[in-house]
Amino acid sequence: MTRQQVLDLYFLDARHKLIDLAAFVDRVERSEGKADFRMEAFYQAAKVLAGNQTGKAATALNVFSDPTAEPIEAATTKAACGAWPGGAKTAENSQP
Amino acid sequence: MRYIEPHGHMVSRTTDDYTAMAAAGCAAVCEPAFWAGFDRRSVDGFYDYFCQLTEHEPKRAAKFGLPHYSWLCINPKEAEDLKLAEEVLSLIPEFIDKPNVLGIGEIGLNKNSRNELKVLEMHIDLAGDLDQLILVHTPHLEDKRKGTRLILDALKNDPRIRPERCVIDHVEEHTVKMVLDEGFWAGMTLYPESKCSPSRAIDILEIYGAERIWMNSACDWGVSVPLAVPHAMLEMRQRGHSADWIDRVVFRNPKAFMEQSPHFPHTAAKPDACMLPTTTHAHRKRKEIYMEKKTTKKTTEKSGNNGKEFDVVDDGNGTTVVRNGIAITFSIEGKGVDSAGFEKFAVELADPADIEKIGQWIGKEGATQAVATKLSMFFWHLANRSENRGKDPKSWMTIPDFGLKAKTKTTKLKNPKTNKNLTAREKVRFEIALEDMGMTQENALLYACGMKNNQVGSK
Repeated sequence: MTRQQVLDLYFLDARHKLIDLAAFVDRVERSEGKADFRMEAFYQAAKVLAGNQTGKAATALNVFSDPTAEPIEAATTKAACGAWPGGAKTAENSQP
Repeated sequence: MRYIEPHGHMVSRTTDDYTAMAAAGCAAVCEPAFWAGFDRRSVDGFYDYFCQLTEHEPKRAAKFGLPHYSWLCINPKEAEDLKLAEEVLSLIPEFIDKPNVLGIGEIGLNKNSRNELKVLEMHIDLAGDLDQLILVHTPHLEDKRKGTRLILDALKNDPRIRPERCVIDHVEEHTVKMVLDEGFWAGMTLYPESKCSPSRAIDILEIYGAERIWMNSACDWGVSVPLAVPHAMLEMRQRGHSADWIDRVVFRNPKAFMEQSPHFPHTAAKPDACMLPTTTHAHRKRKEIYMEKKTTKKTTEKSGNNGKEFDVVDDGNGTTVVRNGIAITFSIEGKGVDSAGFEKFAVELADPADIEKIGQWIGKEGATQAVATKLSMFFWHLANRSENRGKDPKSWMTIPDFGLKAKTKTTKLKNPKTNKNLTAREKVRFEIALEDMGMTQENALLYACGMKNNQVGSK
């Protein structure tokens, strides 16, 4: 597909999703509560959109991913929450 | 357009879904065993579930003209309980020959825990023993990348497992490359809220190509869309992809993978076959054989008859293999086995006299169940190899070296670095290094624990 064809097919859908994301962030920021590691990862992943690198989807997925290599001792839950809880700590530590 | 749904948990769906799928062009549906949404309290729950997957759901699907296939396992979400996992795995040989069973799946990891990894390795070992295809579930969301890496390593650690006989499901943009690069098949799951959307899945196809890859809906009791694959087909057409390319992705690719199972073309050619009652004497025997094999795995006996000649006689009442004037007859429920049907033979081993007979047959004084079991499993493996299917057994049968070499008991070995007992994975690596790579015991132990590479330290 040409870029024109891609935009014709997908732009409105992507615009709709972006506005939905912006509204979601407004909703979170309007609410009261503590900072959350999921939003830390979310903001980091959002930065990927405006970057210059290729493979933005893979890069965004990697931002949310557990970067460690060893198995954990035991599973204490069956569910995944969407972002690695250790990520926020790493992000804090990585700041100057 | 036709398509195959290679991953659908139809026990969770309604007959409306079957109607919609059949109307949309679905030609077959394949159902891996999965987590029910709650933990089953005993192995009996799994027995019933396996009956549902292999007997009842095929009948339900057949009412809509859909051939139904299944995969068997305990899902990683229930893998923290090792005892339960062992019990469930011991059931699988009883069901593995049911005519709609394609292999072991969906195994894998969920939270990437140590016990999940152990149970994954147990499943891989079982698939290796029974020469089965493997369907792998990769973890969700933040756990996917790490879990996929651990799973690929576990599969590659077992030399019996061939990547082209394994599909790694639920790949996304950050895992698809490692899966394809290492020779495995990749499955993309089209979900509304997680995994892949149809648009992203088509992007992946456009970037990485349509070799060894398929898409599925993985429809289940959660938020999911049984028609996700035909919806993606529509979007592929909107992007201008050819009908042939779409057919390759949604029909020919899953068919090519599944046809590696001897059950797929059989029941696909005759959909009604999956409705036949299938709990047979042969299945019970296979389970006994397998269980005996597991308990005698560490035997210290030796046997050496590799490549010796024997005769194969098919007299209509059974396929009889004769050597040194002693005959062993292979049969299915007392009926003869021709060359085409040989792949499903059962070896009658329950009688101790038979076991003794096998010992005489292979030229060994006395015999044990271990020897007899090795013999039967060996022939079963040979018969199921794709290059042997449908051929006269005379063309491929040779008396095996049963591999009953003296083995060091791995239970007492400890990891030199941690001083802890070897893990399941380390035990497997140890045995491979010792027996297949020819290392000394000391070097095999170092290799098993990741302290030595495979290029040094051989005898």
